[in-house]
Amino acid sequence: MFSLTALGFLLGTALPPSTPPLSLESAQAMALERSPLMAAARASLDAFEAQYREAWWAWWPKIDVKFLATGIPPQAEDADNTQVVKNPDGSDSGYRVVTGPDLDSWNFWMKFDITGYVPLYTFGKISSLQAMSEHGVEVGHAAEKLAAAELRFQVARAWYGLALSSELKTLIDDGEDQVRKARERLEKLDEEDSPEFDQADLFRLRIYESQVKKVVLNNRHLEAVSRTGLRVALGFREDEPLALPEPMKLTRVDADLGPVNCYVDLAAQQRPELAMKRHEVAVKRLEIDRKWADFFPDFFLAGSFTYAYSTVVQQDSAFSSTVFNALGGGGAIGFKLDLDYPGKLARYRKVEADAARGQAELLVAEAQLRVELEDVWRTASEQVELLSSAERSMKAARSLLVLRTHEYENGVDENTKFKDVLDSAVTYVTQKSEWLSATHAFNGAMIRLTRVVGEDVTRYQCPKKLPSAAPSSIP
Amino acid sequence: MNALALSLALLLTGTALASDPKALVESKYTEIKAIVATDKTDAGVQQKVTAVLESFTDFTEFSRQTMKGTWETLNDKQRTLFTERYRLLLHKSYIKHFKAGQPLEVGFRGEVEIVEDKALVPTTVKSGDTEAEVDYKLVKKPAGFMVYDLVIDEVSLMRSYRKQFDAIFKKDGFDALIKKIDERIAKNDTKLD
Repeated sequence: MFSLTALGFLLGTALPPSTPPLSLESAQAMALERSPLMAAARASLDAFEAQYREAWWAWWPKIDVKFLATGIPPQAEDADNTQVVKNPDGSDSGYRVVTGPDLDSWNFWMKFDITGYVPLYTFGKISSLQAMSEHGVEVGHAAEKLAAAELRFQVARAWYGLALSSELKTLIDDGEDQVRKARERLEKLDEEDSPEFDQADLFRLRIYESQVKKVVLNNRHLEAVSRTGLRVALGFREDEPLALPEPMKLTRVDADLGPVNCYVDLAAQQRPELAMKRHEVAVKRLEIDRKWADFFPDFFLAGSFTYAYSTVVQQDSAFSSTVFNALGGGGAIGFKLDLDYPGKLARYRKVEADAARGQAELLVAEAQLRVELEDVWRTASEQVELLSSAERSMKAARSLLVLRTHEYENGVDENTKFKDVLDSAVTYVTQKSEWLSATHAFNGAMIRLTRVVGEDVTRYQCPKKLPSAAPSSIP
Repeated sequence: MNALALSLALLLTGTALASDPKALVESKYTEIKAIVATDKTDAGVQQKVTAVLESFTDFTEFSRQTMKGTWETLNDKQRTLFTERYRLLLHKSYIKHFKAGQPLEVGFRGEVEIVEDKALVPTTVKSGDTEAEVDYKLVKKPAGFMVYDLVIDEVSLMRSYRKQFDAIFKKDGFDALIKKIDERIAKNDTKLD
């Protein structure tokens, strides 16, 4: 327990936060809610879903209803457009002769039209469209998952950067404090002209101060970049307060690294970029079917009904042939066919080539994923070993500091000098910062692996033995 | 009758604690935490913690282990003198770090190892943000387990002193060693604070 005080200078004191601080999980959740990247992905998905619904209505009758009504203004002095037919005796015969529009008063005209069209057989055009729209929705989902994965990655990367910076700052602050105390002690010994004063200690301190200065600058850079990165990922404005834990603790991600093949198979199923590419290839294949169907006609059933009524009789003119009084309708079965076969053939060849290109790009993406995974997994795997080694080294340096401090403070042989304590303190600080950096690198490798795989690998348990016939096209 | 029953219960509890090294260390930590939490002055805390330390430390065994190789060459008077001085030195080096109101958290790491009459109780002591691994080495005596070494972050207190004492003893002899220990006890400074 004597070492607790001896080591106390290496650690800082936490200030109570004024508002509930974010955690990594809550920051990631906040980013998913607030980030414009996520909003864009959701809007894209909405658009894909709308297209899907539209495609599913393609088999339904398309009915067009039209209703028109208007008043016909007075056009001349005589509003009555009929003339009484008189008997020879001059009495009213009861018949009227249309003489033209009633030019003295307002008249009325209305027309109601309903037309319908039902596709009967389209040689697979509609079913291809529907299947394409389904894949479109899946692309939207994959894009949303991709945006979420990217955001989580960005937030975690910035978070761990800030945590490392916070831990290093605590270490630096305590180191600086210790240097200040050591300097004061040396200056006092110097003033007293004490035989304990060793000029070499003073020089060592100056070198240490210079080293600390460099670390301080590097750490400020890391802190600023990480903080900005986190703000951007969270969608925070510059003036919006960001409540973070003080100090932030950097702890090793609690996860065991499984074999690389486990993540290869997982990525083949979960990586959003691959899912998007697969659905895009599927859409292109369906487009081939659709273009093939264009060589054949569309059979349909069509019908229409019209009712028109007016207070005036037909008023055809050179500019209008509007029906003024009518009632009737009918239906027919028909087909339509565009005879531009050379154009159709060219378009068919084009979508065939597009599909072949998409398939080839998918194979390239899968092969690149294998390389990327190998790289990220190797990095993570090496970091596991480096972290373990750095931890052993840090603990050994800490033990050395405890030992030297104890010998210097409580020893009886006076063999341990101040420089030994100082050297061991510098060694400890160096080793601890390397251990923190290794922890940061390991966490970074794990979040990168999560990003590449498309699944949170820290929560995924690799199966003990992988199935031999895993459905993976990755070489 | 009640007093007898209580005495018997305390005796049995004490025996149980002494025969279980982990329970013993745990009970001593409980005492120390209570002292640190309730006593208002550093001096008061250090005085009471010294009493706790005395109650479960075998300083003779501590001394014998520290002077391994030379203990047999010492006579009874020298052994008694050495043990007494060494005890004060350990008090000085160990006790001074206990302060009134200092938060103290104790946890146990892994299983207690018991081999024949020796036991190792691994603990973790946390004070504020500082955490240290503190292992207690105990030996079984007729009265129960007693501490004979303290290993802090892999640094053995006994071995640290053994190296220093051995060098002085071999170079300048027993009296010089006692003189050096006395000088260290007399020094009241803390160089690094």
